[in-house]
Amino acid sequence: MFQSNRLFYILFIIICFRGTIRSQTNSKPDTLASVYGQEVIVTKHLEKKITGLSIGKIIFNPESASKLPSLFGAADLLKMLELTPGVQNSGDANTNLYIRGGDSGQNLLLYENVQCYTPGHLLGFFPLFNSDHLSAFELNKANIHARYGGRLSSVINVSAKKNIPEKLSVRGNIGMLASQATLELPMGKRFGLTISGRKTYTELLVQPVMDVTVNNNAKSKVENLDYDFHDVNLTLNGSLSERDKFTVNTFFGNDYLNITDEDLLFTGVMNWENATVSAQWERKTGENSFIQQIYGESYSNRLATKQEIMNIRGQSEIMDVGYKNRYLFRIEEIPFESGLQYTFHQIQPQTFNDSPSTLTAHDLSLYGGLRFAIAHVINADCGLRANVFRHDKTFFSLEPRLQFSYSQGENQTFRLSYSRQNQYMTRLTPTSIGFPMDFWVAASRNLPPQSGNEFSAGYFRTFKNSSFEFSGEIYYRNMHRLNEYVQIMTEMQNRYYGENIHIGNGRAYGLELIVKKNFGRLTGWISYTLGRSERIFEDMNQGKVFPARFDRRHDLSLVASYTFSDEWDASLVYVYATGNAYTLPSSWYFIGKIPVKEYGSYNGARMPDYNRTDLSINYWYKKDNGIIFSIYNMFMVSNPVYVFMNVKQDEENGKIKVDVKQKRLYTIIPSVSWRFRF
Amino acid sequence: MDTASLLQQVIKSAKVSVCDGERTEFLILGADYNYLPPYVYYGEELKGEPGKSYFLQIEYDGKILSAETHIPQPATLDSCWFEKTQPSDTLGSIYVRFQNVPDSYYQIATRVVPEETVFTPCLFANFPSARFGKDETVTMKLNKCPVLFPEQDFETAFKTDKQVQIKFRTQTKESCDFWTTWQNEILNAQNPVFPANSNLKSNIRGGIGVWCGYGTYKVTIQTR
Repeated sequence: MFQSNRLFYILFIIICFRGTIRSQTNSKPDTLASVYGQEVIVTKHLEKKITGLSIGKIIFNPESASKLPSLFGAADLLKMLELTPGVQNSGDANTNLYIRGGDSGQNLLLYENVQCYTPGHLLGFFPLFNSDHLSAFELNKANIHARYGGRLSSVINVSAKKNIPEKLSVRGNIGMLASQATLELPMGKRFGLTISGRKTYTELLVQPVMDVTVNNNAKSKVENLDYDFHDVNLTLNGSLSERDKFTVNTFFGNDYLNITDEDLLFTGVMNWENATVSAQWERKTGENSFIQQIYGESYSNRLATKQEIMNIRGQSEIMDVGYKNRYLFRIEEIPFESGLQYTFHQIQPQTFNDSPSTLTAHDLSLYGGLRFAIAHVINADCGLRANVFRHDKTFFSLEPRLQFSYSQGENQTFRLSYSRQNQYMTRLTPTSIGFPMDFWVAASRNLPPQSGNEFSAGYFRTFKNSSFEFSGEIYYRNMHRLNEYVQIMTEMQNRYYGENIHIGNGRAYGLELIVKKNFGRLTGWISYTLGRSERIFEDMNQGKVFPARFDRRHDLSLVASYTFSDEWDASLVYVYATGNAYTLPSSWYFIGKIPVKEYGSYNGARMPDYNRTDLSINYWYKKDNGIIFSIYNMFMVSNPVYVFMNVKQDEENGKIKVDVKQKRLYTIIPSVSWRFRF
Repeated sequence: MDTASLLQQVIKSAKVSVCDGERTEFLILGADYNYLPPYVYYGEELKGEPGKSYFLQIEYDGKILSAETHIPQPATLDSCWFEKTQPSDTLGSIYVRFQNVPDSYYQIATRVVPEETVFTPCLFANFPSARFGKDETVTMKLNKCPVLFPEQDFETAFKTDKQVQIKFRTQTKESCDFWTTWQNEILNAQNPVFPANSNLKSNIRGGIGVWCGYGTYKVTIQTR
């Protein structure tokens, strides 16, 4: 059923797009106008690994980040975001990003401006997207432009390659854990096709390596972890005339996890799948631009677990189809942008039976924004977004976005920003350790939309001709109608999922610092975040404040690359983060003769601090061709992904004791990959 | 902690009373080795009757805990039987069949005599009538629950040549919630994907556990 729907959406988009091309091929070309927007920043700072610090955002460039440690042979740009201030490290098993104290489902992840519901890949070292296929990776955590909406926390916008290749080329890498390849194919002077594919084979090499490396402490590892994924990207870029450009993008990914823990008599099989297709047409007229896009997206996950006699099968799906446009224009040299966005959601929330229910929702937004100067030294960015969301009830909201920046010379900038966000699609997380069994539901009479306000202030400075950069920011965020999903497995057959949702409020605040060195043999950055993220729910934790699961007091990252010669370079990444919050039993009591836990303060305990060092040594025998040696977690620090406790009776003396076990996925993982380009 | 120090933690001097709205009885502490710790407070005057409500009050060290419950009318089993896959099997399954009664909350508990001294709720046999259609005839396989924990490799099937007593119970929603979360704790306390990490739902104000009574239909079956 869903497979055929997905095919229908893809055909629908292709047919619509063909109609668009036909209607525009006879148009007269206009002169090429300058591009409005942030894309300019990407090319201007191509030599830097990250840019955009001064304006509350971070932009990664895949080319320049390629030397950083990566088991895959290519940089994981999404994971690299965790090395920047305000983005919390999420641990080894977790596939999610947590930004400025927000929940992972509060981030808007866009692939070519299309919402992606994919939770990413497990194990922590596989890039979410194929980096060879990308042109930029942008994180916006403050001053979110009015064009973006629907999420409280941040926007992560991933852009595929925009250029039309001049010649046929193949690039990629072959490694111990996975391989990938990207084909760039020119199709005349006006069209170009880029196709990328990846495939992992961790079951062949990771498991044996793990067995060798953790043999001395086998009790604390998760046995028989079998995880793999594959994905495909396709991008077709075309220039119909001097003023008309189009892009077709597709992305398909499939992940599979089989996990067995003999200690717990537990086996679980999980599978999650993501498909995105979009077609965009951009027309430029003088200095104005009109961009239209139609798109479809689907995400689904499936789960089957068995623990002793407990067998569970569950699934969830979400599918979107939509249209959006942007109009960029100038009045009296002041740049304006306005647009319309519409998405139709078809949702199948988590179900555990053979007759799942399907819900639908409509999401419409209009926005406008402008940028202007006040007294030559102060720039203002203002925007307003209006949302209408319809499920079993209609919701309406207005979201102002404001930013004022004051520049003192070319080296210093002060910034103040405010943004309001509303979130109508909610991600519910039934598992506490980050396995991707989350599912999406729409705001309704019983589940009110989330909303939030963020205030931030920042200072940015460059030194020595931009060789060094410093950025410091403080932020405060309040969030309303947040949710905590507490699922009771034995109630799954009897209870509607909505009965497990607790609703409350939250706040997050913190300080973010980063110092970067951009040029020279040694480049890199040190990033530190001091943060706090708190929740207060009337019906949880006796109504008292408790920390969010991914609340981080301290989050420190060090990234350094050193170039020895044209052939040899090395990189090092060090990460330290406060451990995740979790709920610890405070006492036991007996029902009959069976001990039962009484839990203490919600999220009142902490996992051990996360600590990891990665090293990469690269040998480049030719431009873009080399051998990459990487070691992940080189000091073999044990970073548990979950902790469990049990009451045991000592066989020798009969005493009852509490047995505490910490489970981790792996410690050290070495890797060699061959990176090539023809 | 050894058993002796565990017993020292037990409060043996609480003032416990039960009231049916007309009469109040103060309960007496006694030993009962069917439970851990091996103490129960018991009474001799009041007997639970279907259709009536009962109030519990516990006083100790200036603290007062209280709860109330209602005993619903019992439902009946139409039939129950034991099945083996092969004649030579030493294990088999017990099935029960009953007519669904709307707005009920059920529990099915078993006791193998003589080795088991108390009834233990079967796994997944704690459910609301809303799970089934109105007046539907429901057939259910029973999964035996461990009666002692930790119990390694416990078996959910029933052994042959045993006498098994079955209690088909009706209960309140609060009682059903408690036993459902209790089973979740037993089954999923160590589940890494869907861990049980919340307290059992209690209907005792200021305390933990459950105060409930059952409308009970009892039957005995020989597993052969």
